[in-house]
Amino acid sequence: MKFITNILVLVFFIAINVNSQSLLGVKICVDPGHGGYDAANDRFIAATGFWESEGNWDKALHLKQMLIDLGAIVYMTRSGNTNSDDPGLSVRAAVANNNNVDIFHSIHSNGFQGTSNYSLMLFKGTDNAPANPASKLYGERVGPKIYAAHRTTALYNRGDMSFLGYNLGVLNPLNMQGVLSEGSFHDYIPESWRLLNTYYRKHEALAITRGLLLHLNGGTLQTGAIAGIVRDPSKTVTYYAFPGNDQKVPINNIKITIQPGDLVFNGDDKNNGFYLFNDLLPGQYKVIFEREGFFKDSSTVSVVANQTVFADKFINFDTTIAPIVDSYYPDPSIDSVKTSDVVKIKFSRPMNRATVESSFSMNPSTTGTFTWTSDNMSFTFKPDLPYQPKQIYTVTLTPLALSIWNVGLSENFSFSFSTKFRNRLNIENSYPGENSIEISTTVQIRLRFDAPIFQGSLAGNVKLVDDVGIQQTVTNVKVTAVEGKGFIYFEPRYPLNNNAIYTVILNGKITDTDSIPMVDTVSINFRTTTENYVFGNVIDNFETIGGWRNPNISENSAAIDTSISKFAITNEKKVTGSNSGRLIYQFTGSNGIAAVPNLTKPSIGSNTDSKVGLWVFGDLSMNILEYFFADAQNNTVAQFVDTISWTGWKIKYFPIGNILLTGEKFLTELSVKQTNIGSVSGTIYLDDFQNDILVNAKEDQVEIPNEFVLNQNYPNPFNPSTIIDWQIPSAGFVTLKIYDVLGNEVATLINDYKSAGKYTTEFNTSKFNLSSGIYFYSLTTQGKVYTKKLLLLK
Amino acid sequence: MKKCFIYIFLFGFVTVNLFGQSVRIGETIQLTNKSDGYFMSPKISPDGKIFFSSQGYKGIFYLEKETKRIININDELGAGYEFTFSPDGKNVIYRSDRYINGLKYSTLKEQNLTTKEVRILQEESRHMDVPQVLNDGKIVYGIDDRLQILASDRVSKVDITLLNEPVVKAVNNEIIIYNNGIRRTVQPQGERYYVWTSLSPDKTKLLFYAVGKGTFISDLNGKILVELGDIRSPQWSPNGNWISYMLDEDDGEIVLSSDIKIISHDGKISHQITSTDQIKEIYPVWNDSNLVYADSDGIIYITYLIFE
Repeated sequence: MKFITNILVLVFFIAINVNSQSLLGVKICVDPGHGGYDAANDRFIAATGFWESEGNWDKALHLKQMLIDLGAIVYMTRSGNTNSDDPGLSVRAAVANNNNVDIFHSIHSNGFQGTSNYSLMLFKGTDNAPANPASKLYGERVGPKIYAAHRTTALYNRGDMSFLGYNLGVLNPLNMQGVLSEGSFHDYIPESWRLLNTYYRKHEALAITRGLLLHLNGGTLQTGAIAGIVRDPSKTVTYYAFPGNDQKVPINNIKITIQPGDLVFNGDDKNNGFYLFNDLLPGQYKVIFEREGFFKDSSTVSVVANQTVFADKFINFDTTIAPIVDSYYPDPSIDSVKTSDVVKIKFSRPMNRATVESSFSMNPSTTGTFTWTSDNMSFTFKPDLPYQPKQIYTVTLTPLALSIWNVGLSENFSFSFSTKFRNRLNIENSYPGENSIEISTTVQIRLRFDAPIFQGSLAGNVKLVDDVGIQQTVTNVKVTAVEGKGFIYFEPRYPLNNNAIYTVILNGKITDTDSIPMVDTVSINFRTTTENYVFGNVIDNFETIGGWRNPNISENSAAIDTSISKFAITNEKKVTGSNSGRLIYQFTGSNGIAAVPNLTKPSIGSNTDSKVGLWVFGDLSMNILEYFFADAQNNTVAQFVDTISWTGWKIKYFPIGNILLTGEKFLTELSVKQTNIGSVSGTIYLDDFQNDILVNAKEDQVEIPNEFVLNQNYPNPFNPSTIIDWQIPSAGFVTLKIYDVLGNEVATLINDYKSAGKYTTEFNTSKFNLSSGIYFYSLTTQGKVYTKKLLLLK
Repeated sequence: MKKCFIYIFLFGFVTVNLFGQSVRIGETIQLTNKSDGYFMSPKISPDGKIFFSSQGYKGIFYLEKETKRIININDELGAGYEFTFSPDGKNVIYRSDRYINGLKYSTLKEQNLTTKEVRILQEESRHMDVPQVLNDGKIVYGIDDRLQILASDRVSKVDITLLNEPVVKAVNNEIIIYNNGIRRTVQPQGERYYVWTSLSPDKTKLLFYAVGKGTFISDLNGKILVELGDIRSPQWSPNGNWISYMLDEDDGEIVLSSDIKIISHDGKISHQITSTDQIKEIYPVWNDSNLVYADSDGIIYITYLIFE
């Protein structure tokens, strides 16, 4: 009897031994490929946030633990996954060599254009002449295990020289058998999501362990595993996926229970739906799948030792459950919501759009449009108009909002949010201003808003039109933001007509960068200059630098940043020819002068009746423009020209007789002089300096509809008398005077206080000794001057 | 045996002043041709012969100086990894590896370079590390991390009290020093792997690479004397004044570039020995005052350095 007992004990012992598994005393070097988070060589997949270095490291940690549990001595080539712990390939091989390990395994995943997903084992050498035959043999044994675990499309066991055409850096120095495994493809997006799951990585580690046991004659694992992927059959992924199950959306946060044992696996939220139970004794198990909002489901599987049995599952929405609001926007915890913002609501199930929209309300009442996602689970409501500022809004959905299976919300759902103080984009200032006159025909239009402008909202919404609505093409459009304000600058592509009304139209669809619109369309009328100008004798056409120099060498310059304040010839703008002069200035104090000297000091002659001037493209800086002159004795004077209150080209001139010098005079400098209200920096352009400007006439002066009116005289031409009709909208002191072409006053028709109304005044030349020619009549009232031309023919 | 093609591709000398001593970088000669086969891991025998191995450390070869022929000594797997020589240069001592059920077994052998006769010094064992031959002819090696000392008669084993010079081994996460009959362990950079460990020619200093930290020189107590940076496969020059190394860079899968440099033993001066875009020079060893190395295509080179 004792003999039989001993036999039974021996048989039992042998049976255990045959089936047991061990790697006791085996030295294994595990190399987690790459290391850290260097985008240049750590293989990052932006679509999923996957780093190969991280995946390899996690697989290696799982593998290390499994191998240690089997009694192996494990050497890891790196100790973490940081940029500072990323040993070179020669160092990794040296770790294996120095520790005299039995086998080396470098863990990687692969990448190629996102459309492949096979498993690849690489050993050193060629397919038929491995540097170490044991390496190829190991690849033949571990490859199928990884291939089976990841269920990739194919398996290859290749020599690196044959497959790649070069030796892998980590295999080349190895003094033992070793492979580099590319378990699957991390740029195939479904696989990339799976590789983010630590249990998926663990499953690869389990597969490598099985391969090592096989190769090292370490027996087989006594336990098996259940793994699978849970998906929603009703939804299709939006990224590339092979035909088949990968095209269906995996379910996140799945709960899976197996019985017996009641072991629970909680799935992750990384869009892979993967689960794994390992270390299961062979036998039959029930796998129960649960996810809130889905019908509970189950499968029955038989676990086999040393293998993984797969139990993929499609689970379906529970159509009987009342939908709930999963998430919504705006978040009530946000202090204040942009008045241009939208409402977003996401449901737990697909919804009947019509019932949701009819059950949706906002208080205060708000109209808008709904935009749904294709799965009918979420919508965006965009109000037609911005919300009222500083207002609490309440959004409500009633139980009449139904799922596509006609199950309504279980109760009213509502939330509130408050809005910010702004609900309009406002224009604060413009040049030209509304109803302004004498605007350059090359005006740079400047618009200032109370918030930075969203440039994308401008297309088709900013127009410059003439008085019959014809749109003018514009150029040099600039959209900027400074200190919280928005600016738009632009210019007509071609000079506008003289003495014509134009309108800048700003459509209410223009928005700021917070998407808050103007709402109301704004129109700005202005009239272009009435000045008629005939070129005189051009002294300097600014085509070349000539005698002009930078402000830093002028003794008159003061308080300027000389590194910025420069004069140059440029083709950016011009009146005639190809170029003009450009003065960029930057004041550093409060009394700055940026003076541009002309070392050649061109003569302007000595004719006191002659007018001297030049074209100036203003910068609206409100600084002062001055010309400096000298006489033959080098006495100099600074001649005030104008306050730079315009943009675009304007000719700025005056009679030479105004210059307080005698004899022949010479231009020595041009300057911009800082004023108290002036900008500290700016840019003006200068062109065609000239004297003997022959004509300086004004005609058809301003008429602004519905305000002051000065009508054209009739008859015209006339002799000896003509009628002038005019009107004023409010009472005030009025003068109506006649001037000759030289600007001399020749007659005063009215010089009196007048009440608002229409008036008719006769101009009878018989009272005055006038010769034939062009004259101007000018109405002055309340600080405004209106001028028109008349022609006397005797 | 194959006739070797020899190419000289750098003439002229570059002179560098180091330690008050001029170093002239002389010509570089290609010792083997790609058509001869893939060779790696060169070693220099005490009498100056240039040895190397083939891919996977399979076999040992040497270049016959007179005939420029490549002579095959043996074809044994693993023999080419860290083989060494008897002090008289007549024998090569190496391990021969075999895989049984996936497990690596090694036999320690000595082969006469003239007769090619092979003598087994240690029967097939698991976990046998690389042999070192001491000045007095003793051979030390490890089995299962236990030091084995084979007396100069190649038959009897002795214990560490009979070592006439220090011996150093890097095992697991520490460096073991056998000296004056005592076994001591040091971790100069804490618990981490130590590789490419060696003693200076005068046996007073330790050169090692601490994984994650770089290469250092310490005294025999592990006290750091010099930090040399992330230099790979460092090797003492025969006079101990210099250390050769390779400067290899990779992208995690392939070696992108590699060149050979030398650095003074105080770490203050380094000099580029090779600077080639297309050739990746790796694993240099000293041949007297010259450097022998392989490239990633399996070609062996020598670069002459003249110290004046």
